[in-house]
Amino acid sequence: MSTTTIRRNRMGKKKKAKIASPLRVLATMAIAGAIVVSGIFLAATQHFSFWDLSIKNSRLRQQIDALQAEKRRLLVAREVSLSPAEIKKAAEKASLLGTPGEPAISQSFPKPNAAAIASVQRKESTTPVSSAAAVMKTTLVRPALQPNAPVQIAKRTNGEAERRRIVSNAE
Amino acid sequence: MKKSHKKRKKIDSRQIAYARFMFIAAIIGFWFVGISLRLVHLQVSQHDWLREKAIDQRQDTKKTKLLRGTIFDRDERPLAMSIKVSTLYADPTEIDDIDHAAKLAAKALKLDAKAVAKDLREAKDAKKRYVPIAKKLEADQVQAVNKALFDPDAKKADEPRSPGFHWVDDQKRTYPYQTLAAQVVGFSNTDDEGQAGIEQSQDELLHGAIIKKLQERDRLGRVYGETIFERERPGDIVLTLSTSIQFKTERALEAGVKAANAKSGMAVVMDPKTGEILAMANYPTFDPNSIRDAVPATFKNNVVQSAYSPGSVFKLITYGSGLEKNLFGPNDMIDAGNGTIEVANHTFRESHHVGTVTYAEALAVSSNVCAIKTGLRVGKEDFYSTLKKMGFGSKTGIDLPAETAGIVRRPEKWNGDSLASMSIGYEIGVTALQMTSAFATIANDGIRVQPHVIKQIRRDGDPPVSPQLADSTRVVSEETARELRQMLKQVVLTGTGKRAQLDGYNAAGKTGTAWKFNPETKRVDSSKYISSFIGMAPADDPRVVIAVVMDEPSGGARDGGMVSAPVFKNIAEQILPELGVQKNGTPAKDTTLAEIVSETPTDSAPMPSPEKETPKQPADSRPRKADVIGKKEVSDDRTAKNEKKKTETSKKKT
Repeated sequence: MSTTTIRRNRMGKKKKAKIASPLRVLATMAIAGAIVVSGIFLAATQHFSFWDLSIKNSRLRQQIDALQAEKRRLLVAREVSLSPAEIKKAAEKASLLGTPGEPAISQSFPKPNAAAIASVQRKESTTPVSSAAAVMKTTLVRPALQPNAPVQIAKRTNGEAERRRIVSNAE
Repeated sequence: MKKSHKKRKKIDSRQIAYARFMFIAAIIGFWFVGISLRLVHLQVSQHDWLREKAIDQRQDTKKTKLLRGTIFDRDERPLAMSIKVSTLYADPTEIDDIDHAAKLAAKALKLDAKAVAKDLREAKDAKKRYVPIAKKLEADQVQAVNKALFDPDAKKADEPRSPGFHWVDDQKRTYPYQTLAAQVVGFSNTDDEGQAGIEQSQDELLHGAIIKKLQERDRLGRVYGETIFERERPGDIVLTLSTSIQFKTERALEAGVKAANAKSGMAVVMDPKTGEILAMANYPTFDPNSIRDAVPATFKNNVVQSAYSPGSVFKLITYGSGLEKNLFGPNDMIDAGNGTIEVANHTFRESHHVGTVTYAEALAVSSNVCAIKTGLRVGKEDFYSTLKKMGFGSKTGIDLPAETAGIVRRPEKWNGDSLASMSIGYEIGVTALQMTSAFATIANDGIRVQPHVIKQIRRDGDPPVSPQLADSTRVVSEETARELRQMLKQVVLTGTGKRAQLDGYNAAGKTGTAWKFNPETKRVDSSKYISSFIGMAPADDPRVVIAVVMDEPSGGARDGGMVSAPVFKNIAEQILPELGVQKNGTPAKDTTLAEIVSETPTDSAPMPSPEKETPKQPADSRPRKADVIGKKEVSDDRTAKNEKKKTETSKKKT
């Protein structure tokens, strides 16, 4: 019997000790809960940001692949456009080169008569030539068949500038 | 009793509650046990199947091929390059409305909608999951198709946003310079296997391995993880060819072949000091971008794959042997007699009257009699030894496929007149590259360098490496090489090669006109010629050796000096300024109308066929002494002494 009493007394003491700090327990629980919740929240944030970054990373990798493929394609396109055969084709198209067996364009036109030449010379001498607006005379586009018809001069396309443009675009 | 009854009642209600509780607990327990057993069953016995299913939902494996390696010229211009293309395919099992899908695809690709629908329906019935719709589309076409097939309602992360349609990566080989160096670069087939040229010989290096990409996808199909099972990346190759020189050579050769109305032509430009091939041209040629339209016969690189009788060009070896053995000097007089010489009952004739001339003049006018006399004095064994040292009868070791070794029989199998025939370039089969290499040896002061077309091999991450070449060997002494160059210079100045005179440069070279061997009759055909000119420039310190060979010219003149020498001139005058060679010679006279000594052969000589060797006959092996007269008759004593001296000098220099 005595043993039981002692036990009860002990239990009572313990209960007293526990009851003495309910706030402490609550605070501990709240802190623990907060830690767990914030941990879960952080983990979730990290998980979703990982997810998001992975998707972005994958997209970027795809873009790199696509850009590298595009770079190769442009390099090939540049080399094709700079290949002698293509340049020859382009020159023939632009009538800078006569195809073999075919007379040059300027040769096929009838010679302008003396009056036409004189009128052109008169016009040229009266119009002042500005150095800024100098046009390279290359091809006679339209022959001066009529005595008073003005001679039109075709503007030469600058091949080098065009090539540079293509190259810079490609690079 | 009443008390006990009440107590029992009380006990019963407790027991009932307890029993109920236990019942529910048992149910929950059984439920747990059941679930646990099921879980154990799933995780233990069905583990593999479930794992596979889960991975299948999350991951997909893509197999792609690495892009084939690039072939560059010496100036880093790509001669062959692979680009990424895409193939559009349909998975009919994913398509509900086949007619609508077929209509969309047909509209995007300008196809027949009915035919597409029929294909898709048949494939769906057969449960096929791969129906190719359009193959090898380039990036801009892919974008256009993606735009045309866009379906805003489709729940799909990949392009094209249309259910059932997918892209698969592919590659396309392109040759930006089209026909340029087509036989050297070669081509590869649709399976990315090299079929000719460098593409074939270096296929192992250029070949792109298949790589596996493991993609992990979320529930919307977006890729969030990718594992690539890397394989060794294919290497790139830098050739010794120069695009510019190659183009000029090809253009000059084409013009030459057309002017001579020849069946075909070939030209080689080689740096004699390094053995680098700067240009190797064949005409007619083909465009590797459109193999289906090409004539298969044009795929062959005749420069290394065809052997022919060189004719008088080969006299370089004969006269060189005479000089090396010190049997003759360039200014020694030699008599061609009445223009005929009989060896083993075979009469060899001169194409024109030569008379008594210096040894240098004999080469300049391409005297057959003097060459035969030289050959006979040199002797079988020594002549054969010189041939082998020059590289005839064995492959040059160039990095191109299917190279032929040519035909050089052992002296034991020679006929009585074989030595005489070989002295003038018959009964022997050589390739244009072997002949070029022989001339390059003379241009390089007697040292033979292995010709090669690969300058560098590049592997991903490794420093570039140069291919292993055979050691350079001295074939003739420096003095002999110098004397030969002077004699070859004479050929261009006064002899058969006047049309090879260059504007502002000194050139040296040798013409050759040989009858073609007819394999059917096993004899040479006097109506078909091989006309060649092989030369070097500048003559005193050669920077390039150029060989031009025309097959069956038929437009009037057929001599090498008339047909091939102008092509040499055309090529050399264009490329020497590009190589930075200063003009040092006199401007060339107009040689188009120059009187050129004919060297058209006048006697036929059989050429050995590889299949059937000509039977061994008792040959007149005793060399006939050439009728050397005049200024400096060479005595045997002097020969021996001089030879010893020369050998010592060359040994020291080597």
